[in-house]
Amino acid sequence: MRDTALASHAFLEGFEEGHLEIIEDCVAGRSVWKQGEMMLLRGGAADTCHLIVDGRVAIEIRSPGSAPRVFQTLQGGDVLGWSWMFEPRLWTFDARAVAETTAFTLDAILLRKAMEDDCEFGLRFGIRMTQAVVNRLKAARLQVLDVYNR
Amino acid sequence: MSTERSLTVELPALNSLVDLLRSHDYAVVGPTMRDGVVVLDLLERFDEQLVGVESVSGPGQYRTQEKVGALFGGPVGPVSPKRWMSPPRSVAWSARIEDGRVEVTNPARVSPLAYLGIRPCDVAAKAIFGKVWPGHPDDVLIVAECTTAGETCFCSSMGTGPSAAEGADIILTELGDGRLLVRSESDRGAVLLAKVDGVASSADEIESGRARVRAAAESMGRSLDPQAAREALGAMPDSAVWDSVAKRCLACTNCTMVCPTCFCTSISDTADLAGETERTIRWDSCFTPGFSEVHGGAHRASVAARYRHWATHKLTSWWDQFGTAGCVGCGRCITWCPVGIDITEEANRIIKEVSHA
Amino acid sequence: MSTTAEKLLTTWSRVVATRRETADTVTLTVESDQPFQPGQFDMLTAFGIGESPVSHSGHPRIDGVHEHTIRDVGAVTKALTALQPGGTIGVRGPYGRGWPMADLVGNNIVVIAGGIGLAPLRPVMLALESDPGSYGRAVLLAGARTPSDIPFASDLARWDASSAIDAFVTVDQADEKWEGPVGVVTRSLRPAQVDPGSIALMCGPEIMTRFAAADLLALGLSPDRIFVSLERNMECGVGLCGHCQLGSLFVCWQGPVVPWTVAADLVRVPEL
Repeated sequence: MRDTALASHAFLEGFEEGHLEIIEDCVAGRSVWKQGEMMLLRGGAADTCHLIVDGRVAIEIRSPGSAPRVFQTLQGGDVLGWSWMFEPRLWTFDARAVAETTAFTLDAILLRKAMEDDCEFGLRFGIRMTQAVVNRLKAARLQVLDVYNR
Repeated sequence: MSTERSLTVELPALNSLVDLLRSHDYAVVGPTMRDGVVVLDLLERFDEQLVGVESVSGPGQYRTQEKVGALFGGPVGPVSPKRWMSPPRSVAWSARIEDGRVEVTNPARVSPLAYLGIRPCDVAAKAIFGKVWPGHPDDVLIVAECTTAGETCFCSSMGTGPSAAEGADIILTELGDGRLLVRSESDRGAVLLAKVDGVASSADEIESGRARVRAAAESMGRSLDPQAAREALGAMPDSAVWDSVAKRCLACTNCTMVCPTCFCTSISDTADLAGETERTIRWDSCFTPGFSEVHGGAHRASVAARYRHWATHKLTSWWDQFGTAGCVGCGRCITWCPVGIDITEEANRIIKEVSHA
Repeated sequence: MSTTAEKLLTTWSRVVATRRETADTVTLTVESDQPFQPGQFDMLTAFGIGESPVSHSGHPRIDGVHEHTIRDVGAVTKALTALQPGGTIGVRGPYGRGWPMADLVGNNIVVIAGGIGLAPLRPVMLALESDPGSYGRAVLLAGARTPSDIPFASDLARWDASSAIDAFVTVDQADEKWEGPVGVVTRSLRPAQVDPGSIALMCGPEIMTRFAAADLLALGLSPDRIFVSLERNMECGVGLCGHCQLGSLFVCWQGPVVPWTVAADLVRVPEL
């Protein structure tokens, strides 16, 4: 493993050396978005998976006649994008950099092939992605419950 | 049992006690017949309607019937001393705004009462209830020991009767033929008794009285181990017993009204058109849906949760809170429950569940 | 009147100032000399309407006045939030067990507040702010429904600017202008890099405090160093009326602040 910054990303905590090397081989590069820049657009090809290093990302949805509605924000340590795992492999929502944001960008096509070629890696990475989705779902449920509004 | 001298008296002696107490400005509370039920109320003399009458109680049942020679026949009625210690409705204070300042009026202070024929379970209840709403420290207690046990009684189990224990000024024990043994347990009681006409009791009469009380102790309709209940109820919030009670319980609040130790009250302020406000204290019940309201909803919404709270409070939480059981075994909750739910039966089911776990 | 009913006598005082915090929340400044501990509450009376328990929300060391932050949720609180300077208000208290201020000295602190739950924690934050040398680092996580529901916005800004305090404000639902975090309030635990040896203080809806406690325990905090302010129906504030019981606990005088070692069992059982 050459990139220690990647290895120490919170999303990859506990991954064994061999699997970290597979991930490193999938890295397309480091991305930087300026404040206000759109990172993902709904309907676009979901061919990347971003491990956010620093900054803040607004997951939002646009509808005619109103400003975009942000329903969740992500921060350093979070993974952005999971639609690459499933057909039709298109982004579901928009993602916008609220502050200058940096991330490791993984090539999702390489990543998917690696998961299929190496079943154990595929399982571990799949479970880790599921955990992120579950945490996101838990948060979304708590937000929807409107607990502060008695 | 006290070794103070015992007198054997008849009904007129009770009335002379009442007169004596009233002459010392004590209001006297005692049993009286109302609509076929023996209740407690202020008395000017012993109610003749109670002569030769006993109450009979069972789960969800109460009646009175003839019993020759009885004066304090049968188990307690629905009213208990808490009616005077924390009345069903009372005003804590009233106030009005005059010239920009609040003028407060406190109601008159409570006077001491004399309880004639208070039962041992109610003496215990008075002490327990008094941990939250104290009665007057000078209340006089003329205790009538129980010589018959009711079907729903379990004071023996709870250690509160049927014989009189601490706190009595005078103890009455019926002999079953219209006569009573009377003995004093306090200096104040001795002073009162000194003015009562009676004959020194014979040894046989004293033994007869003791035997009658013993027989009552041995013929209790219900039993419950208070320590086992204390450990079991608090430990079993998930027991199926609670849901099974909820299938029958109407949440009617009768049990909390007749229970001599239930102390829950609601406090509310009202104002009249003239701008005077009163803070009113009223009996409340944990069985009402609004009792546990938080954030716009009841926290104990289900009847199962409410019954669990009441029974667990009575038999477990009271120990943690006040160092004593909250239940005195008077059986009123069983008698006045319209569907006859029995706290001893439910507690015993949970105790059994714990022992099988 | 019995000695017990005497406990329900209230002292009559005046409102000195009012400050609107959000659409339904007002802070009243009331004349009073009664000392209090952060986390305690008073029973406030709106003359002729009734009483409501309201936590102290002001600095514990300011003489002569108290602050109470009240949310309009019923007849009594509606009347209290409508009071104007000079208005008559009944005050009795302080009651209850407050935050463990002595334990906080020399320690790192995490404060998690949900909605109006920030009000009972504000006295703690004001004490930390005015005496930073006595305490370690303080992390404040405040959650609110929407940006317009954030209470004490100017205090939050000032606390975050203080070197001894890191404040993170998260909303459930953003508005068009909000640039801050959107999500659950505990999302900020990770970037805040909370010390597992911290003492944590929590106040807010029970759903929030349950999940927050789980997150704190997962980070390595000890359950006897996590404190929560419980809320139940308190009608008398002095252990008479029976309404606030949670298991054997009278929330009014054995709480409202309890350690998580006590609270965990009580909130675990539904409808206890």
